[in-house]
Amino acid sequence: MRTLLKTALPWRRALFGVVTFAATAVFAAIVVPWGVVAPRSVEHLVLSPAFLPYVLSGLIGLFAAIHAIISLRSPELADVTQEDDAHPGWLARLCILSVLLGGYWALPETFGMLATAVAITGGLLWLGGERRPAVFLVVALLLPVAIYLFFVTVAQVPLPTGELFG
Amino acid sequence: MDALLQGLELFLSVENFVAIAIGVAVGVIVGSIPGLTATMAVALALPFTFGLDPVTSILLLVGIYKGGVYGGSITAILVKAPGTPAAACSVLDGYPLAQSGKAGKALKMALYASCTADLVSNLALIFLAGTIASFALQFGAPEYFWLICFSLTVVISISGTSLLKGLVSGLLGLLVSTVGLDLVYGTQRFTFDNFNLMSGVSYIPLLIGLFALPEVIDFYLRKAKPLVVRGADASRVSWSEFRRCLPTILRGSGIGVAIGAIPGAGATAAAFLSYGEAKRTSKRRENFGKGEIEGVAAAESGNNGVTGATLIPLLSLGIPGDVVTAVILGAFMLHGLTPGPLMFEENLDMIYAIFVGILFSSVVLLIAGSIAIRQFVRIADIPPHILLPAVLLFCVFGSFAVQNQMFDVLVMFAFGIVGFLMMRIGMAAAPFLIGFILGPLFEDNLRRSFLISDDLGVFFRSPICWIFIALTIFSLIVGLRREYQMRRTAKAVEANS
Repeated sequence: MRTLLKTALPWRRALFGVVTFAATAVFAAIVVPWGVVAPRSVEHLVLSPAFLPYVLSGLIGLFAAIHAIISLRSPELADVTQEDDAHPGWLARLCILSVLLGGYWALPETFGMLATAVAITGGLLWLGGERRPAVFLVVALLLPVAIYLFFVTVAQVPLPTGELFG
Repeated sequence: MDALLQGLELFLSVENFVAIAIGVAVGVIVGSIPGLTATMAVALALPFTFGLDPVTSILLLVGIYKGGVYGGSITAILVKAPGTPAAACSVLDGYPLAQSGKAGKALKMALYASCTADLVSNLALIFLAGTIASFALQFGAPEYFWLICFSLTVVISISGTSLLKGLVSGLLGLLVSTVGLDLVYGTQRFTFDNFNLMSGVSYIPLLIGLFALPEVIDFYLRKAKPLVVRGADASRVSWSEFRRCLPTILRGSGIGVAIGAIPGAGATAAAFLSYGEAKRTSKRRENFGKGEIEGVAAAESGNNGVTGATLIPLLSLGIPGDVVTAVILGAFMLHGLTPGPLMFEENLDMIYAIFVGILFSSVVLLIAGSIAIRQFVRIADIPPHILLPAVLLFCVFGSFAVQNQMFDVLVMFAFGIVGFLMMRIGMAAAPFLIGFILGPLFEDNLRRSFLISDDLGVFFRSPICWIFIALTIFSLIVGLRREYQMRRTAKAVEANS
């Protein structure tokens, strides 16, 4: 990410246009015919369920191509690049974050939303640099419990209780 | 006059005052929590109205609605997690203001703009209900189609640093909105036999994912920064700032009223249209998107200008303008009342009582909002490594709450990753949202127009069509020209420095 986002060569700016153009070409050629069921009885082209996806894919491809061309010919008109301020250990942190966020989707059915939330909030606090035991315990325990109780009792949302505890 | 006095007498009871106060307060709290919408709060409150007087019931629900629409802006400004889709527009300038230590100023301007727009909207409801309703009734599919086209031109104003990327973002939003069962033929589009996608991508998880989650991901992947602990934010909106923003607020209120009176058009479109117009006409347009207080005023006035106006088709014609007013219609019916022209003849005193109550709700909103700001503004002082896990909790629980299914949490995460990638490549997320929200309306009205007539002339059949065609072309030309000039100037300044 550091190198990819490191500023402003025209071809790097053009990369967005090229990749988007290629992706929309694949999308229009493969995904739209595969994913959209268009009945044969369609009388008018505009009424076809596939009409808008094709038009939108075409327009996205067109704008992406224009972006790529402008980036190469006059990059000052393309866009402004972002400053690079990635964490030195961003890859490891990304992996940990992915596991933690994935846990929110994978764990509630077994362990329930509350236990999952406590564990993941603790993980995120640790990842964020919190090392004070008192603050850690209070935030990791009380915060999920309070928000959980609000959703379950006040908003009456049946958050998963989990197979282990349900 | 007799009916007005009777209505006033009907309104002047402790129960009505308490109902409005509780309604607005509950609405502000619920609206400020991402995932919990005003619609949900109004629906949850409906059973509590069974034992109440009809006027008290309606005022309670209207209070929740108004509070909910305003409340959405609080977390949008503070933590970039809009409580409601319409509040997404307030993120554009509200969040940069909060980031620069002016959360209090942004929240207060949001409140003042909301209350002013709410008042204008209520007055429009009271004095112009008949006229506006008859105008709104002239909208058929082609007129809606051009209205949506005009609304889509706002993408130019909210494209951020790259117009082309903004356009691609808006088109991607439109493309994602096509997922689900086709409305005309009932066939599948991009659902791949997944029943969770049959009704399309749920917009609340998409909204939360697109705006809130990228901030969370970004925080953990950035270089560690020393924690900045600020004192309580005491920034205020000065009288001169409010006076400068007043024309924008009034224009936004007008846009909100016009959009709100048209059933189905929605507060999100009104907020973005108001923002686009403000940016187009402002002398400080180059500051928009970087923390311009006028941007917050424009978004919030457009957003809240809708609230009173959506009641116009409901009360005068019996047509609910959106989902919330459909629930309120249910409340009317529960109490044996049928909104529409007959109600104006048979229950005029009740109509006046509701009108007085709705006017009063603007004052309550100002008070409740001021109290809420005092409490919520402290959020800006919480260190981000503690705040963001809490934001994530609300994101996950709120996404689940939409349909009580884990699939929506997955949708939120998916669009969170999309939002993060968009953020890293400098592609604005707001056009994606406006495309996604307006997409179904755009396609539905395009196809309905063709179902009405095979002839393309149907798109030019009425003066309303021509007005919106002209507005669309005007907005496109002016917007593109201004954006081009602004970019040229910005690049020239950058090159010189």
